[in-house]
Amino acid sequence: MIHRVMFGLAVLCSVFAAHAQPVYRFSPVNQWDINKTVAYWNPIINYVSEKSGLQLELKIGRTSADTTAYVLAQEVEFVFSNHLFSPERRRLGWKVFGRRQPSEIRGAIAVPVDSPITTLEELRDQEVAFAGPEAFIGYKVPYAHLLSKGIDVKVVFGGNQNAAFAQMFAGRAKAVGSNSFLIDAYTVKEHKNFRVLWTSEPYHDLALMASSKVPDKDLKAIADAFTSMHQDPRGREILHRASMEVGIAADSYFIPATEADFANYRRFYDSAPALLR
Amino acid sequence: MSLMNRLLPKSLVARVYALTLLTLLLFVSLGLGVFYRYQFRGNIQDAQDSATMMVEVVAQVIGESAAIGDYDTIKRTLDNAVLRSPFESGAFIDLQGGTIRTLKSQPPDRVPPQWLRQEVAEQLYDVNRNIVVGGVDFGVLRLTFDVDEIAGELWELFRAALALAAASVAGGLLLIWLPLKRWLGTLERVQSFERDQAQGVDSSAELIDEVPAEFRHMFEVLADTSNTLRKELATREKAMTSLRSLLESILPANPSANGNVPDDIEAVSVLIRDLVTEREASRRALDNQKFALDQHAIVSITDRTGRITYANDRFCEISGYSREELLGTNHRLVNSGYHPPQFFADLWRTILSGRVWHGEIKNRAKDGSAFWVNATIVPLAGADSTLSQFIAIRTDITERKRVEEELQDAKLAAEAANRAKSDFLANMSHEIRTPMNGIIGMTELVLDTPLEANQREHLEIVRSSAESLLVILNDILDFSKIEAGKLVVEHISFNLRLAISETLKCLAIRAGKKGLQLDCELSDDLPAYVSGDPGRLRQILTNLCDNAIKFTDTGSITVRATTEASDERHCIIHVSVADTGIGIGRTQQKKVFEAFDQADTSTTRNFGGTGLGLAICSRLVGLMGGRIWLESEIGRGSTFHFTVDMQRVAGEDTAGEALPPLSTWPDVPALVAEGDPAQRRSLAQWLRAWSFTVDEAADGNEALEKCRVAPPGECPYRVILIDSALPVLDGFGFADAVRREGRSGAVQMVMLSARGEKGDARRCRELGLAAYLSKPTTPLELRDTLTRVLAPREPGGAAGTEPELVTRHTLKEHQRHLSILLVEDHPINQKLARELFEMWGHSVTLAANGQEAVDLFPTMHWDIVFMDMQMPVMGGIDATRLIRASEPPQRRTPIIAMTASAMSEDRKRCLEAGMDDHIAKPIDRHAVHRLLEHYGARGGVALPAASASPPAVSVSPTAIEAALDGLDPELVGVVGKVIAVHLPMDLAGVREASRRRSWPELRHAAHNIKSTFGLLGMSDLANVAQWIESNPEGTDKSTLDQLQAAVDVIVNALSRKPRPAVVQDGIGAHRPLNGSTST
Repeated sequence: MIHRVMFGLAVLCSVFAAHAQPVYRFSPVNQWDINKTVAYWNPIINYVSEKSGLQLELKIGRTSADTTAYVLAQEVEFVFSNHLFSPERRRLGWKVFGRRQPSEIRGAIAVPVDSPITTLEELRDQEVAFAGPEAFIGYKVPYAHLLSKGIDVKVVFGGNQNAAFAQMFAGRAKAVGSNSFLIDAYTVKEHKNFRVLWTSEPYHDLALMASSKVPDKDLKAIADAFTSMHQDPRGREILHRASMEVGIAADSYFIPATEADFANYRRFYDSAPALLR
Repeated sequence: MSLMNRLLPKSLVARVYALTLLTLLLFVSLGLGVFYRYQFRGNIQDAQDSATMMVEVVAQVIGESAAIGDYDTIKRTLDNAVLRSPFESGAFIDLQGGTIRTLKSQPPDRVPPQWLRQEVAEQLYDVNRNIVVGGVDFGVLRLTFDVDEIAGELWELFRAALALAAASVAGGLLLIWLPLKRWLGTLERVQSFERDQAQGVDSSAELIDEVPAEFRHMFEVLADTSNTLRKELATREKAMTSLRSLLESILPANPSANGNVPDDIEAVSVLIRDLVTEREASRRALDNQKFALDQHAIVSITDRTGRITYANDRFCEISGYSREELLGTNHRLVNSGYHPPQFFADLWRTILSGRVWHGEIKNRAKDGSAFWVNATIVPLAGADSTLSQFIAIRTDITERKRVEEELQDAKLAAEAANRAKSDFLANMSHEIRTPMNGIIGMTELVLDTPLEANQREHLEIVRSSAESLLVILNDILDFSKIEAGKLVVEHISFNLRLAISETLKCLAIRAGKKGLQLDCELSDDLPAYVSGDPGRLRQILTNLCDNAIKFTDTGSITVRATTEASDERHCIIHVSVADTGIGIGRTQQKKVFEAFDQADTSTTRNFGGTGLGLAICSRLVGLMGGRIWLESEIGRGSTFHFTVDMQRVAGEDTAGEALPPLSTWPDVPALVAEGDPAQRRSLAQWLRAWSFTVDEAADGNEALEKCRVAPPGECPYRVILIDSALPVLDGFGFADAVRREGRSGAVQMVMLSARGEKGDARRCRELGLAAYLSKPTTPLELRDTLTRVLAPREPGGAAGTEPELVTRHTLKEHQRHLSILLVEDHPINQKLARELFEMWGHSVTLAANGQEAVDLFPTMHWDIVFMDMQMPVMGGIDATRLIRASEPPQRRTPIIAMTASAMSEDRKRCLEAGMDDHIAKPIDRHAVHRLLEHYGARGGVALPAASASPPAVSVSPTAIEAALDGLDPELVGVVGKVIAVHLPMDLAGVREASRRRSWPELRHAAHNIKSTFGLLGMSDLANVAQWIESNPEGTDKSTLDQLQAAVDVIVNALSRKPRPAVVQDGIGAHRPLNGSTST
């Protein structure tokens, strides 16, 4: 009888445990557009879920700011973002556990290759398109440089980086602020050539970050799944295909990272105008 | 394409309308689609733009409120923001997770379809705005779009657009339909246009005015085309009518078309094409033929007057005239003058009567040289069926004529040479055979006299050598004649069985001497009388049998004759001669029928002979329509076969007439005891033909058992033919048994022996046999034997004495003694024949030449005359003619020609002169004997038996006139005058002799007038004269008066006959014809 009771309890526990298995929400910054972002991240998330044994759910916003909104609304547990390095948001308790390799990018200001504008000065009072106010490399770094140079421009947000490029080539903006990586990718993908007027110091690209609410064990499992993905042939194949979908380096993969890797973000915020903090 | 055709309406209006509908639908649909996409994007963009603006405004207010913690303002702000906005809800979420949410209270006015709602929802995301104040995050503003509201608006707009499009399409279609129906409906009215055209109403102008400009030109063209077609149709119809008339006039002459002209133009076209093709082919063929004819023949055409209208190149070439010279000139231009005027008169008569003339004409060329042509002149009729021209087609036969003349000369020379050769051959034949005749004949005569043994031996050698020489000579002569193509086989009627039997009879003696048995098996199916050459048949058979005897030392020789095939007119007689001799090797068999060949060269040395015998047989068989072959095996013997084609003789019965029909023994019982089935069958057949009731036995015991059927002491048979070599119990044993059983009293037993042995006759007498004959026996011999043995005993016969045993010898002794007139000039032949005839008991009167024979003939009755052909004073032919002329019609004395001539023409001449048969010299005693048996048995055609009173004399002038009219006019012309003078004188001599009772004179005078009456074909008067000649003493005055009246009528009639155009001297040349001067 006792055995039967014990067995029943074990079954109930296992069922409960199964039901208690958390579903983590992962929101990457929408770097391209929704369709491409989904095309890039879905296979990777599925792989990581499978490898880690933890269920990850993709949550994508229309703009890059949406990821931050999800973080603020506590609607996600994992992000791929660089919007959380400001001093205020650092207090939210999110931890860096990885980044994409290669991830060195620079903030840049570019015009179309056939544009008459050849210097930043010529952008004064001109429309300059950016992805969104939350974009660190694509907005805050180049705009901070313009402000530091005393070049006042009319900021135009496209919502995401592709929209910003489209606005420039449509003539609604004279220049675009972006990270150098996305400019190169857009050139390859859309056969549009740029004249880069300025580039910043190098920054690591977005960071894989986890909410402080995520248990260490789960975090480790997920972090391991991300960072060892390129060592697994199937994971490498998934990475390769996903990279090809969005036009980034085919051999890009995820590696472990820490807060130290993103120290220059802190330095930026330390010296950035209050408008951009 | 077929699918498209099925889908498309048939009507043009419907098609255009359908096309218009499809086009409208396509473009309206595309427009709607474009409109929808445009509106969709615009609405979405508007929503997003308004959201962007609103979120900034609301974020400003909420940020300030959040900084101070005024959540109530936040709530109101959200309510205001959501109200009358594209958002369904608004929410503020602070960093602690607290949420202020507001929802639109009003339900949507419009409910969009789910697909549209889904599509809109996919495009509208929640709008998030981080609420940051002074660089500090306070939360998130989130606005959620009212998808139903936005999609509903879009849907309503889209429905309105759809309704407008549908209305536009419907209206457009309606607007298109009416004019389309009006304009394109004109096309359907083309039917009425066609109908009007058919009725002769021209409505085209009215119709064309109504049709659209695009179709107007087409309709004008159609109207013009229609008019043109109508005119062409009328023209073609007219042409068709003409063609039909033409064809109807042509087709009756064309049997293939049966004179029916089809109605449809295609069939007419085919017919015309066929006719044209046929005519073209005919024309080509005619051209070809004309070309070929011109290459080969000389062709000219003339008109009715003979004027040349056409001359081909060959005519110009051969005549030497140019075409210009010939054309228009009369054809007489090339007349050579060679032919008489009658020749051309006949020619013109022929061609003017419309007939074709063929002939050979000698023409003259321009240079005077002659050329011969073989001409065919065809009269040609013109369109009016009258003769209009003549076409002459000729071939140059000048060379042929030249060759013919040379050939004719050569032929004449060759014929002269051939005649000389024939004469030489005949003379040589005669000259060689005569001494041979003498040698053989005299030797045989001497051999029939008592001689010493060595003398007989020497003479036998002489005879044998002479006979061998004669055989060789005959072979060479025969072969020469065959090779020269001179040998002609006869076609005379003869008894086939008799001919074979008689031939074998002589050969059997020869075989017997060598210890061989010669058997003969004549099949029942052999015809009795056939028409062929019995002499040559006998020659072949003799040759084969001679060879068989020559090459056989022991055993037998069997001759078989059957009918191989026959029909109503012909029969193929198959004769085989089988021996048990040395045989012939296979390689030699192929050569034996070649001339100068024997089985091997040593054969000639061993057995003698020319080697020509089988070659001659082969040729003779070929001439008689048959073939010859042999089967042989070395050491086992040979069988020679030959066939001959004989004609059946109509009217001759095969059974009875096959045998001499002089005697019959109705229902007399007879037994044939013969071991050999074929011979038994032959004997039985002969007996049945003589009306015997025949029984047969195959051996002695069977024969004896048949005899024992009768009670003891009696015999059921009147005659028994016994084979001496009967199986089981031989013939003599059987006869002895019959005698000992007392059954021989009333039966006449005839022993037939294949091999006569000494003592046979004695044994026969001892056993009481009636006759003894050696085999093979002939029907004639058997009949004579049976006649004698079955004859009643002569009353004068000595009682108790045994009747004489009948043998072949006694038969001869009892033969009729004939009165023979021998006409022969050669002393040797005279002596030979005389002694031969006299030896056989006949009386012979000799005439040294034909004239003597003619003189002697009327003096007495002759049973037979043997007439030599070549004699001085008068030859055999003339003598025979005169004898036949002087003979009374009822009597015909057999006259046998004796000729050494090997030529068939001589034999033909003999028969034409009235002879009955011929015998070749040197005289063969067996042949002579056969002739005597044959003709002597007939005894000639006897005169009517002498009666007590003379025959009645008819002196009807009409009958006499008719008889004279039936004579040959030339004969009457030649001898009539002489008869008219001498006949009354002869009759006067009869009267005078009768008055003086001088019977010899009376006979002589009566004989004269008998000959004259016979010459004139007046048999009744000749019979009266014959009666007087035979009964001179019984002649009375009334008979002589009747003769006198008849003679007067004859003389008067002859006097009225016209005198022939023959000089009187000619009569003298025919003196022998005048019976009055022949004796």
